[in-house]
Amino acid sequence: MNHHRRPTSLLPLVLLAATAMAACGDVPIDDTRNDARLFPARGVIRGTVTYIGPRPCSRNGHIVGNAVVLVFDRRNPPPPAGIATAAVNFVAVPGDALFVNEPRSVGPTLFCPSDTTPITASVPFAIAPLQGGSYQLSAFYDRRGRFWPTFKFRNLPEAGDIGGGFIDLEDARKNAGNPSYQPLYLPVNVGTPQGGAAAGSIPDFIVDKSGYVADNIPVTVASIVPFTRPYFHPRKNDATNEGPEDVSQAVLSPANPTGDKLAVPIIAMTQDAQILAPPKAPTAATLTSYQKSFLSVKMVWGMAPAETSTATSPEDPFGLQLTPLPPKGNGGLLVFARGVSIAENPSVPDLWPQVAFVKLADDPLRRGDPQSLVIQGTPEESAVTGKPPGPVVIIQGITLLDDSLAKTIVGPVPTLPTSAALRDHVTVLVKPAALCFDPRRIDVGGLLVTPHLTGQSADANEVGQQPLFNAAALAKVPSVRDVVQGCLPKGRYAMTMVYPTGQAWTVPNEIGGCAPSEGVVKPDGDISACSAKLRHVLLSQGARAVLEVIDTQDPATCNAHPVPDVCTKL
Amino acid sequence: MRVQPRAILCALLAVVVALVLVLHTTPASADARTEARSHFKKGMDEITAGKYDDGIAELQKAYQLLPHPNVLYNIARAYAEAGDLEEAITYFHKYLEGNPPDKEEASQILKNLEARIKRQQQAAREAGQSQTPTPTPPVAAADAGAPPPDAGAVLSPPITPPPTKPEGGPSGDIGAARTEDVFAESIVTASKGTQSPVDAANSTSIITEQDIRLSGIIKIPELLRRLAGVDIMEVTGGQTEVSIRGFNQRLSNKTLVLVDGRSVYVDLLGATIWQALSIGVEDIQRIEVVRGPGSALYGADAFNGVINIITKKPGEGKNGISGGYGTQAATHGSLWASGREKEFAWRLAAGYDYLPRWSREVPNGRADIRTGIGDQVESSRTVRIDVRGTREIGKAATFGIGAGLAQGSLEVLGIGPLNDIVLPRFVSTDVTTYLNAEHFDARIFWNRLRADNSLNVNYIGQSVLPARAEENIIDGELVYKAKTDLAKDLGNDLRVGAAYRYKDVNWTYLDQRRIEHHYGLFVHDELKIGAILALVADYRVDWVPYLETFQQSPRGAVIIHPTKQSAIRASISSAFRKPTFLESYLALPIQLPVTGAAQISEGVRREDRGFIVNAERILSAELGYLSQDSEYFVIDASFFYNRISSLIQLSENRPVTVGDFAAAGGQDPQTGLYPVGLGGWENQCQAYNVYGGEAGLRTFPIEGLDIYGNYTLNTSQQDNSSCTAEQLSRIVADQRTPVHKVNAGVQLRTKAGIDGSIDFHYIGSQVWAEQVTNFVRQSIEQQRFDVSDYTLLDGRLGYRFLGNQAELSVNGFNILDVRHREHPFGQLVGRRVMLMATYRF
Repeated sequence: MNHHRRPTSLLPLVLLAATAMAACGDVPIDDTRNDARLFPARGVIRGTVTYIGPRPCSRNGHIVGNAVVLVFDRRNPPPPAGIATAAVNFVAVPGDALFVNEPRSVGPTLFCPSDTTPITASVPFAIAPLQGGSYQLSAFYDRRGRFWPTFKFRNLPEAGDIGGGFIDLEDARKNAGNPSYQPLYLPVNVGTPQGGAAAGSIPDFIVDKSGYVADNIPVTVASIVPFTRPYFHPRKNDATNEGPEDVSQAVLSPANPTGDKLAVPIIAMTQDAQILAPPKAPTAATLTSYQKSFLSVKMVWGMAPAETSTATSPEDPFGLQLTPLPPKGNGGLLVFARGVSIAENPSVPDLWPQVAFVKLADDPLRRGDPQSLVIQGTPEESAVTGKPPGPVVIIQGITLLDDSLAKTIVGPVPTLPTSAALRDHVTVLVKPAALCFDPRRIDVGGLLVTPHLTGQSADANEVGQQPLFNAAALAKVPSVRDVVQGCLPKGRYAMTMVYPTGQAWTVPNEIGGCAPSEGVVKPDGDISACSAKLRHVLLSQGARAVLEVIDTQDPATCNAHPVPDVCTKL
Repeated sequence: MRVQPRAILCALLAVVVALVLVLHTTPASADARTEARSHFKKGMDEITAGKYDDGIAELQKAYQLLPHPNVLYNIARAYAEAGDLEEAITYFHKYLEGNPPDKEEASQILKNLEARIKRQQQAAREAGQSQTPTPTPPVAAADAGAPPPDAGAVLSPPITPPPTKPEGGPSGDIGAARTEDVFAESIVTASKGTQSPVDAANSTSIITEQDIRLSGIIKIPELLRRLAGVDIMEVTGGQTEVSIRGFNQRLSNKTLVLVDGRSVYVDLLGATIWQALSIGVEDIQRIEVVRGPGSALYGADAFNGVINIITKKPGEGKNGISGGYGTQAATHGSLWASGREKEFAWRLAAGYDYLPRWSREVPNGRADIRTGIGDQVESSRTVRIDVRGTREIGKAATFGIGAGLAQGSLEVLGIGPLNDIVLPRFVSTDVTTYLNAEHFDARIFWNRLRADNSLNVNYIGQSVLPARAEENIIDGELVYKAKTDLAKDLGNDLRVGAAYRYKDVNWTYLDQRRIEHHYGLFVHDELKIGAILALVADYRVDWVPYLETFQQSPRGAVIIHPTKQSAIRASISSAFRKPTFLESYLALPIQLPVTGAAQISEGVRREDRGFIVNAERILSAELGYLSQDSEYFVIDASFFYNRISSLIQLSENRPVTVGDFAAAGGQDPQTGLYPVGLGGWENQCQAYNVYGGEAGLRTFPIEGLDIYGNYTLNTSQQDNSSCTAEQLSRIVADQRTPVHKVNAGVQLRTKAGIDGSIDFHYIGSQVWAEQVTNFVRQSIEQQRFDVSDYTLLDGRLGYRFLGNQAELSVNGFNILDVRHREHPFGQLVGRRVMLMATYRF
């Protein structure tokens, strides 16, 4: 073993080096990191869902259904108060968690207790992440367990579900008998309010780096939803039979340059559509004349007759609550008074169901959105167009009672959603005016664009150009920020019908077409099917069920008053 | 890349102190193996020339540097030749303490020598009565192998014996000299048998025990950073990912890691969990790295290379204890003991490691999130114990048995949008047994891993996906080996083997408990034609149950030896990586940024039950040159072309459609999550043509100084010819392997006990395509992330004392404090310092 002279005098130097490096090398925990990509600070809404209603159904040892809590931006609530097409967030608390102690059937058949005595159950919930903002919470108990958030035909309450939300319960009790009552949603603020908002408007909210929890929010579901959804399919108003419409001839249009027969619109309106001015002295004749100057569409209850059995068959995925019309059942569209008049004409009552035509994302070749589902102005639009989302564009409809504007005005209009209000169809007049919204600030209202401000009167006795609408009345509508003359944005518009409960039905929907992964629609007699994934397709709900705004034959108007930029881009 | 002035000052101070120390001392020795080899050769030459004292001194130096029983034998033999029988006996006793295979012969020699001493003493007594004492006579070759002579046969000692060279040849009664080059560098991984690196069919590298000790590194994978062609990615404090010749990733799955030939590949993840190994850096004798495909020998998963950690053998080495404490309370402790009792040898090692996080996903005090574990300070904590034993059976067989346990906690960055996963408790065990005989090697082991895991963090209301995993692997292999001389200058080395691997995985994230039986057959044949040419051929076929196919992996190589210690090597090989359990059977709801909705990521597609992902494939051609001719330097260079195809990646989100209702299964009754999209895995349509190379030089210009430098080039060209337009639209450019990489370093050891090392690393910029959650679009999608190039300067300064038994050192990593991330989502890597103390006895 070799022994060398040890430079013990160097030991302090070693220690000095070590100390120097250790002292300089302290790496603190990087707790300042807040990578926006990973877990940016967000808001949380946390509270309790309380259920008051009948005992739940069960099957296979599980409670059927969920307590669904939907979060909407108060600046853009869902119809009928707003135009939101989807919640910004949601949670579905399984029935098993809500009804922990409820007995349940272990059999494969759905079992619903006959005892209708209301029970009460509660369960905590939490929803995150949320941007800073002011929100409203609507909720329902999905009694049949059919809720599926991403499908238009299964994302809203049905008859028999139990509805509610974070609402003013006292106000709801006071209006218990009012069929047009819409709950007063209480605000849930997430974040710290910022200054600068106009009086009465909703301020901006900021979530700071610590995040934010809006805690102890009580959500109550206690009101049984009385209606089915307003299932409908559109037809041309001049159709004389209920059979399939002839689409054998390819019809080319800017929104359908290939003449795809499955995309030929049910109705088309030029972007400079002109209507008559309302008569100052309405008579049956002048009102008829006035009505005829509108483009109209007939919205027929349910699916096309040949599709009904498929739409309700348990073998198919649709399972719609389609019941026969009276007297065999209580099916049909409920047409009843809303208690107010339409915005632009105080003499015309506004009826339920409300109808709106909402512009779809431009996809002329139908590659990105073959089912015509994507609304312009939503985040999904980018996936279809490859461009940033554009404005939300809405054309409103006027619901008529028994196909007659005169009858709508003169009445009598049903005031309650009873069987007397049921109709097998509704005629809707299409207003040649579009509301263009910035989807980021729906609450500030939209720009109402109309190709004409004046027109000839429906009363031949009135000469000269008359105003098409009551500007003073229109100015009071919160959703209208301003009115400008301009042509309507071209494109395809989905059709939506809304009840006061918030239940809605929109065409086109998923039932009527095939998603890219499902293949293409293969027409096969009355019922079509998808080519890749075998399932039926109900064409009455398909891509034809749209309003298309098309080019005018006389470009003068649009040259003089083109489509405003706010209606085409943000 | 950011260098703070304060950091530079600190580094300069440290370097100045280091230089003072270095200049204050005298260099003493070079790379230990090289120097031991030099002393050994010199010593044997001196002994052959009859210069026994000088020769013995050289051998003693060699033994001191790297103990080897043959050196003891030769010292003993040299003393005997020199006539110093007492010293010879002492050394033969030392030799026998190691229970050598030839202990019977050695014992006989010992007896001969002891008898001779007795005779000499007897003769001396007798002579003392009549004459003056005489020197001890040299050993007579005539005694070779003869039974102990009786007293009457004692030679009459000369009055004045001439100082002549002892009679007798190399095989007298002291046995033949052991002249084989015991200090030559050797590897076992490239052919499943011991061979010189110049005989290997692939590029190979070795991390020696000296490299490990002088580096001061306490994490095993980090030891590999100095090697050319090896990509090291420190993702978190406790997670380091290793890949060879590119394609590194979170949970790297293309490199097979072995410990003494036992695969530690975690089949459920397809990754190596280094912190779950039951050994520490102190237990490693060397690490062999084979670059290039290895499926021809090792089957699936030896895709782009094999890393074989060779631990210290039972009965060899000293006992010891080592401990360190460093930045952010990083702690390392290790102790080991080894012993031998006749045929039985044992080694026990235990250790403890605590590694802190370097950064967090979220800061403290967040109201909107919840974390899987407490304060997010700990990255890894491991307690480990490892016990191994061997028993010699006869002359040529060894039976071994051992077991290891590692237990602790760990956090890792997972796959896709699962960024931060914590394992608050894991237990990893192995039981291994083997029998190595002259013509057969048999081995069987049982690896078991149990762990709880969850996401580290998620928003309140969203699941952290708690889960439990258990993996049981039983792996057996039987190899027949035969070396034959077919003709003069025509030798053949044949190995034929059969392998079986049983896999039983039960994990919450999988659709169900899964059991697989894998089979493999392989043959390796090496034909040596003279001293210049060797032809190597390998072929292996593996049955992969998930794929329901046989996977074939051939390899062929031609090796030319311009000199004995150099080689020019050309090889072609292929390999595959089978889909892991995660890729085969995953069934996991990935929470979207909507509380009630999830993307269901799954291996068995609910809408297409027949869908499978295929194995990843690599075809590689390599041309290499290795020269170990000089005692002063080693040159290693290689150029390669890899064609890589069918890489497995997370698939694009497939939205649930109406047609999926029947198969989609609806809402999860436990979590309440709705499947709005379906994900999983798919094979990439694009292939990669990778051209690259490594060039390295290691030199020992003066004693005690060891300098190395290497450069790695890796250029990748993407071949999209098999992609559809739709697939092309989804491809995000990925250049995750740096094109340029440079490593260089210096090791210095002095007789005064001062050791130092400095390592420099440059890693070029990278571009990563990673699947992440898009909070704006509320979806999971591929995005591009850039990683800047960065440099690392690591250093160690140590001081040995108490006869080299004790050692103090200070180790610095990233001394310049170049703050960087080695993966886009990786934790922030800064400077780390650790003080260490070691005592060996």
